[in-house]
Formats: sequence, structure tokens, C-alpha cells
Amino acid sequence: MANDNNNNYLLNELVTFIQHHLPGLNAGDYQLTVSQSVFDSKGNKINTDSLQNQYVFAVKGDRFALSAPADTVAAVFPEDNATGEYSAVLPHVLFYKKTLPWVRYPTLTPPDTKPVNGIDPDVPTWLTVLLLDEDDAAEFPALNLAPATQTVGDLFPQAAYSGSSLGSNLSYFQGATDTSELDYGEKPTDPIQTIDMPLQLFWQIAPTVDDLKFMAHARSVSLENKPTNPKAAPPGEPVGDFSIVFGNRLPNAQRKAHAYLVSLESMAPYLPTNDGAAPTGMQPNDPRMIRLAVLKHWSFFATQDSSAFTDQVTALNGGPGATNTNLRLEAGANSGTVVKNALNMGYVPLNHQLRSGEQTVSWYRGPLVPYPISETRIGIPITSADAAVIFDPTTGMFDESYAAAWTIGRMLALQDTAFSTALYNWKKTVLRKTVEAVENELINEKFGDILQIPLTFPEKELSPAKSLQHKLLQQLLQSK
Amino acid sequence: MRALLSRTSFHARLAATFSDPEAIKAVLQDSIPDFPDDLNNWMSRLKLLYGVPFNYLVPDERMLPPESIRFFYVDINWINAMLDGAYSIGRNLTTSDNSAELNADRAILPGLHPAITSRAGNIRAKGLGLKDPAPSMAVISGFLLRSKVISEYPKLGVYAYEKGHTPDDGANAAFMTILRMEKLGDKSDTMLCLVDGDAYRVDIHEAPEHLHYGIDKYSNENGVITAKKNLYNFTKTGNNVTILPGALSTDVSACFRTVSPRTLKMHDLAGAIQTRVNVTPFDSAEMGFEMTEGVGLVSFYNQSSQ
Repeated sequence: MANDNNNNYLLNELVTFIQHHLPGLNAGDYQLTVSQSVFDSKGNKINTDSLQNQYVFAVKGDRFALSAPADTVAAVFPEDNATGEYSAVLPHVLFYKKTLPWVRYPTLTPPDTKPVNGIDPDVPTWLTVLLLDEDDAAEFPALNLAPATQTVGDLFPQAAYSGSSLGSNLSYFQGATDTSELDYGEKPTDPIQTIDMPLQLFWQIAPTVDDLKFMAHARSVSLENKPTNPKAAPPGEPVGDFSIVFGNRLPNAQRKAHAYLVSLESMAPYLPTNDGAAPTGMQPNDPRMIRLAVLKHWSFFATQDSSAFTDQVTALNGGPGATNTNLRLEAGANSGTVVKNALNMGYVPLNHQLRSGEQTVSWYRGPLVPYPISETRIGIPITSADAAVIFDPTTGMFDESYAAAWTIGRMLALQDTAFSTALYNWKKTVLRKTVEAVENELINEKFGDILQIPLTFPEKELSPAKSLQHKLLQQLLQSK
Repeated sequence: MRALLSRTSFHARLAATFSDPEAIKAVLQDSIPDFPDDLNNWMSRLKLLYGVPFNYLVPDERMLPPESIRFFYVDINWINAMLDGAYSIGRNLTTSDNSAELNADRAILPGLHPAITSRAGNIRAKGLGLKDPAPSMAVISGFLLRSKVISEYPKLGVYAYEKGHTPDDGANAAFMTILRMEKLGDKSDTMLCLVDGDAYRVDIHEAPEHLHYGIDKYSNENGVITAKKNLYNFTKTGNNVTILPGALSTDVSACFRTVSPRTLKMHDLAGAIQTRVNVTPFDSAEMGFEMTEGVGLVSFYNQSSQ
């Protein structure tokens, strides 16, 4: 289950689990320094000034908000506003970006990613899904379940950013005196969503750094057996890479659950102990709140009754034991044998307005029939729609199926002028070629003997008449 | 030259040729121009019923009521009639069965069918960037699924099997080639699926990347937590995982925090799972695998399959 770039074997499999996709460089600002020294042959340094150059670059990555949510989050589970039997489900977020859960880290220093005995160590993710509901809000009145719209500056203490509303509460930049910890392109005025949680509650439900190592992974799945997306061209890729972050708390049954995808970047000092107690160095009864950036918020309702996928699909056709699973109308109990047979064969009676203005009822059956039909029963080409009408003398009814098929084909072709013009031109070419071929054949019959003499010209480029002219001329020249 | 080759004999020969499709074929031989690619594409899409109004496919709503799945076979005669209708552009509609244009079409159209068919078989594979599957398309079957699962589970997947090739048949199991599988419109609750061959069994399943995480049983009676997790029993050789039959039921009641009885101690849980399945190393990939609650899969059998 380690990283593997060979994707071929995936095509036959449902899903491959991958420990993690670590980014080449974590998001942040970087400085590249290049220096050069020149020495003479005796090893004495020649240049007095140091020849060096500095480059500054940044690896941008989502930090306090998702810059393009639709291109980042592939799905959440349970779906937003979904209702279902979710009481034993850990909510998760599926990302299109396979490195996203590991571009930052919850610890203060970068985690060790060097393999130990050939095994990659688990790397904690900086993202987690926290789950709250009304019971939590009742227990902690200071908690507001709806995320607040604030700015990045509100994550700083007032000493660092005077406009901050953080007060004495905790956040990512505890102890900062300016906003220099912001990455390239981030401004204190950028709008973000935040949630303020009482530390007491946070410690109860937040994962530890060791927990976070197990709460994100990546998956490669085959997309071969999925519906194609008609809007995308090409509609899809055979193999997709996704990363997943899942939560650690089960939803409360019969309560509306609020799920928050939050950043825990550099939050390690505030994360609780394994059993949810205050970390060392913090007061167990600390009344302060902690402010977290919410990258995504959604809610769902966990019920006891089941509306899961298998139940819904099993309930199709009115549940197992359905008598009719083929595409046809079911005959009523009172229908006659003729009608019953026709309906069983997939026919439906439809009102039919005749050309003479009369109304009648005719049979129609579409291309999708309830039993296999293989033999070819109609002569192609059809001279006109009327030629494909089948008359049933026993019932006195018409079968308009193939006439309708022929007509819709013709109408669809006429509707697409690009197709119909190109087809018409092509058919004209075929006719012209036939006429030419007939002419050629005739000439060959009459003058075949003369034409035996090989030509110096490629024959194809000349019309039969032209080539005959040419050949005759050659013949005359040679006979001289 | 005019005396040798009169117009009349030419006209007579033309008339004779155009009165018989075989004669047209004989005189043209190899010089039939290639059917242009875009025309072939258009016809092959039509063969898979792209663009055909839905009420032509299902003329009566009662044939496909809400929350239903309906199997069908594609009537090749209907398709051929429709393809001929499209190909009839530029043909005068006469009652005569023997006009020159009709005979020309009679000579040419059958020769175009193999190319149209083979292109139609590759439309989906091409879209997905797969190798050409070269389906035979002798029989095309499929199903229409009308249900709210189409909109609720947009990434659901389908496997189709022929009789004798289902997963119950061991080594003979083989997926059938899906020729077309699409929601009929953005907001539609109906999906059309066309399969190469006679589909006997159709498995509809949740999207594999939409597997979800969780445990199997959780109850909290007056502070006493009972929680169970059914684990996959598997062995690992290199990158290949073999899932052994039978789930390992594991009591995970102790993995919850006392202060917050619905919050899992993930690290402890990972340890408990590793002890139970006895796999080393046990990293976040194995954890993700074990925490996965299998995707739902429901099988349907086509009653008309032969």
C-alpha cells in the first residue's frame, strides 16, 4: 500500500489505498541563495566580494479558506443536507488534490518523513473534520454552531493586528507581534470562515497528533465503470487519485449534525491528551475559546431508519420478487389475448392521426424491446416512411414502429445541417464515381486493345476521356 | 470517336448499371470513396441512440415508473431503419422500389455498417481514454434506471455479466463492455445503460471512491458503550492485498474517550485493529482500508436473458 506509480494494475481493481502523497515542498515562503567563490590554481580566493544571489519564492497552498472549493472538494459524506442512517459513520471529505492533507502540518516543526527500515512513517494531517450538534451548543452556551465570516486578521492577537476581534482567545498565531507569519499572497483582510470553540469542548473532541496520523490517506480508483460526464471532453480519466480526511466523532442520532473541515496547522500545543484532557502546560479549567478557520461546513441528519444506498436500490421495482423487470407495459387483468401479447412484446397503443385526417390507434414499439430480436425483418433501404408501416390483418391495426424509426433518423439528420450537407456531398461523389466507372468500363470495352500500352501518367489523375485521348496520341506517335 | 462511342450506348449502360445494386458494386469495385470520419462518427452515435428523443425510447411513462429498473434488448431492425432514415438524405421519396438513388444506397449502405458498428463500440472507451475494446455488438442489451439514487449517488457504478460469466462462476467471471452509460440530462433521475451482449446480471454499486468510514454498531446505554467493528481479514504480499473470507468482528468499545463518548481515540483504534488483523506495518492506508464500510452493491437479474 505504499506509493506506486505503476497504474496499469489499477484498471482491473476497484480501489487502491495509499498511505499518503507528500508534496515535494510544503506550502510556504522559501528563499534560495546561490553563492560562488573563485580560487586560483594555488587555492587562494580571488574574488573579494562574495558572488551571491538570493531568490525568494513561495509555494502557495490553501491555508484558511479553499480558493476554489469546487475544484478542491470532490465530495463530502454524508452529503450536505442528507438524511440517513449515519449514526455509525465517521464523516469524511474527499479531495481532488492528492497532496492536500499533507501540504501543512499540525506540529510546530515539519514532521519526519524519512523512511525507517524501508517503511514510510505516518505523517499527521493538518486538516480534520470536527462534528458538533445542538447538544454541544446546549452544554456550552458560548458555542455558536454557524461559522462566522471574519478575516485572516481576526486570527491574530490584537498586539499583531489592531483590527483583530480575537481578544484573549487562542488561535494559530499565539504570541505573534506582527502579521509576518502570513504566506506570500495572504492578506489580513482576506475573508474567511471561523468557529470559536470553548477549549473544554475542543479538548474533548479534537484528535491528538498521533490520531491525525491515521485520519488521512489517498485512494486511486478506476473510473471505467462510471457514468461519463457528457459535458467534459474527454469525459474522464480511467484512473483517479483522491485524498481523504475523515473525522473521529460519530454523529448524534436524531440531531442535526454540523461538520466542519478545520485547519489544525501548528495547533499541536493545544491538542488534547489521548483521553481528551487538557495538554500539559494548560489549565484544565481554562475558560478561553479557540478560534479555528473553517474550510468547509456542511450539515446532515442522522436518523435511525434506513435510507442507505442498498436499501434504496433493493426497493426498486417495488422490492425483490417483482414480476415485471423488462421494459414493457403490464397488461390489465381484463385485456384480451391480442392486447396482452402485444404489450408483452413491448408494444404500446398510441393515437395516430392518418394523413387523410382520420384518427385511429396504432401500435408503436421503440428500439428498446423486452426480449431479444436478432433476425433482420425489414428491407433496407426503405423507400418512404409509409413503406415501413406493418399492417396486422387480424386486428386491423398498423404497426408504426419502423416507420417512426426511419422518420426520426431522417429528421435528426436534417436537423444537423453539417451532417446532412456533408452526407449529401459524399453521396454525390459516389454517384459521380459510378458514372465515371461506367464510362471507363465502356471505353475499356471498345478500346481495350489500344489501352493495353502502359501509360507514363498516373492513370487515376485523368478522367477516362482524357486518358483515352492521351493514349491515342501516344499510340499515334509510336506507330510512326 | 463520336461515331465509335455514342451517347446512347453510354446512357443505356448507365441505366442498366443503376437498375441493379450488384452492378453498381461491380462497376465501382475498390473505387468507392472512403466514408468521411465525421459522418461515420455521427452515424455511430446515432446507432447508440444519441440524440433520439426519450419518448421514442419509452413511449409510455408507465413502462418506466419512478423507482424502477427495466431491462431491454436493442431491436437491431429499429436501429437499421433509423440509420437508413438518416442516410436517406438526398434521396427522392418515391413509391418506386427501383430508382437509381435507391439502388446506389442499396449498394453502398451495407458496406458502411461494419465501420459504423465498430466506431459505435469505441465511443465510450475513447471518451475514457481506454484501449479499443472491439465489442462484437451482435446483441446489445441494457437497462433504464429511474430512481432518486441517480441524483443522490451521481458516481454510482455498474457491472454487467453474461450468463455463465458472473462472479458466481469463479474463473469465468468477466465484465461485459459498457457501450453507453449516461444520465439523460443534468437534473434527470433516469440513466440509460447499453451493454455489448446479453446482460444476465447487473450489479449496481456505490462509487468506490465514495466508500465511507465508520464502525458497524454503536450504542450508549447509560454511559456503557457497546461498539463493534467488522474488520476485513487480509494478507499482504508486496502491494497486493488478498481479502480472506469472513469478517473479524472486533469489540472497539474501549476506543472511545470517557469525556466525550462518541469521540474515537484513533491511535488506540489503529492499535486494536492491528492486533486483531495482525498486519505489519499498519499505516494510514491500512487504517483507511479497515475503517471503510463496504460500498453497497445490489444485483439484478434479467428475466428475459437466454
